[in-house]
Amino acid sequence: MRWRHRACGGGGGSSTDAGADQCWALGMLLRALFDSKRRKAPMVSASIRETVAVRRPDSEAKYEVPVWPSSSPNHRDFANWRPIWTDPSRLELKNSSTMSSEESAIEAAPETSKKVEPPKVVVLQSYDGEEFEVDLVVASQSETIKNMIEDGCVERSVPLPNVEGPVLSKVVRYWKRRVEGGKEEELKQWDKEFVEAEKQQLLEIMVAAHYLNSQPLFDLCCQAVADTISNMTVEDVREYFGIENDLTPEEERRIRDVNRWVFD
Amino acid sequence: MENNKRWEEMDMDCLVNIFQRLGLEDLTIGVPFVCKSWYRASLDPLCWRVLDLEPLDFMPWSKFTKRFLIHYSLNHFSFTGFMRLVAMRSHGSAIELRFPLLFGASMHDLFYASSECPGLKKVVMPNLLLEDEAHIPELVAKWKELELLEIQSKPACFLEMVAQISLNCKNFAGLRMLGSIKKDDALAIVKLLPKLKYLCFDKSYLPKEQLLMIMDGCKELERLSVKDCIGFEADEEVVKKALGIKIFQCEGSKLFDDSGYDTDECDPLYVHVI
Repeated sequence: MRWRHRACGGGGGSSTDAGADQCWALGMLLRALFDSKRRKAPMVSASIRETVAVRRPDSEAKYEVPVWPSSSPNHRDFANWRPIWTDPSRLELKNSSTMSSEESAIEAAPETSKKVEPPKVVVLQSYDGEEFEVDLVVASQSETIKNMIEDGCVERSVPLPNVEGPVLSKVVRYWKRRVEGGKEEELKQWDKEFVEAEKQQLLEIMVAAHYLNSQPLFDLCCQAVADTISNMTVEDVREYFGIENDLTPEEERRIRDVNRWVFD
Repeated sequence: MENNKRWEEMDMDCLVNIFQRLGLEDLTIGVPFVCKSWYRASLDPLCWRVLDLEPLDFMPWSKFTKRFLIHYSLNHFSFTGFMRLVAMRSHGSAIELRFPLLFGASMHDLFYASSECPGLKKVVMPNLLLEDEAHIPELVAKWKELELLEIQSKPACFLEMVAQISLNCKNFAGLRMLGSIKKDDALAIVKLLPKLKYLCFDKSYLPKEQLLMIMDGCKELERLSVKDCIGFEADEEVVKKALGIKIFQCEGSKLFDDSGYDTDECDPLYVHVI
């Protein structure tokens, strides 16, 4: 126990209580990871719980982290806490056969998740906590999200840690317009206006579309970027992308030589 | 994603997708010199699938030529050199090659293209010298994947060319050509290329008889463009036959040309006395 207090600057004063709490929780978490069968799951103090709740609102449900006794209705009975895959009562089983062994419960879990009905509406959560409630058909414009839903990994919310809120809102706007449909020429015109309006964030939208595997949007952005940089000088291109030249003069010379010999 | 986005590490997929859409001038002079990862991405053969030399001005005094000379510190610039450069970059994966229309290319260039780019699906041929045109059949025979061919003017060896295409290019689907379409030419097209989907004879000399023969014989035509032709008018018979074709364009086509003759000077049989 002594090493923890030394690392956290000793116990005692109120300013070090939070630090000691966190160190202790971290230690318990680590031990739990490696030795989950023999030890009880770690308890986490309310202050840490609050901090985590702000960053990841569904952390309690998601990570099954039990908390100190509190008046919150979400408080779980710590003594009875089990990881979800070993607790048959928390699995939605369609079959009435009882599961007693851990192994059969683990086997049952993936199958059960496939039987869950896909949600009609999903909530897309961006990296910075913005949420977008969209219909299933709109979210399915992303192959990534579509696969997640089909695999039964999604109950309602889809965390997208690689996409920022403002960028995600533009992507959702595009998807909604696509779903509305319409004539080819109308869509093309709308695409053109979209690209013009979102010029500033084109690169971010392009990378997001690539991550989300939304091919029409990705192609549209790549074409727009290509149109922008075509006939630009090398310096202007670097400025547009915010790139620093990491080619040494020696390397540049070598690139030139590689291309020159056909002219000799 | 924080403010210090590292665009130079942008996924290769993104970079290659963008580069595929850039012209050859940007790909050779601009992109490789931006940074290391851009240079590596520019080497991907996927960027070089479409070799569009058409919009480039290869004249010695052009802006493009000068820029290239300066950038690569060359003593002299040649079309052949540039064409070899881009063909090499494609590593055999080029599917489209468009030669510039006005700037002629030599037969050597074409043979090089045929051996370096065997997978070409679409070729826009350059203007060739008369004696070079005779080699066209053996050229097209090498492009086994050829689907679309554009020629500026009908070569003297047209029949031989069609025969070679029929033998070697199993997926051949479209031809665009300007010239005088004789009865033999139409017969050859119908007999040897009955599965043609796209045909364009704009500004050609095309008698009605040949046009009807082609429309009859090529039952899978989806797009037939015969605008500004001489030799037929879009009368009832023509329009009726064209009903089966999705896109049929014949604007500007007339029976006789403005001087009152519909002659093909080389063919006395077609002279009408008005």
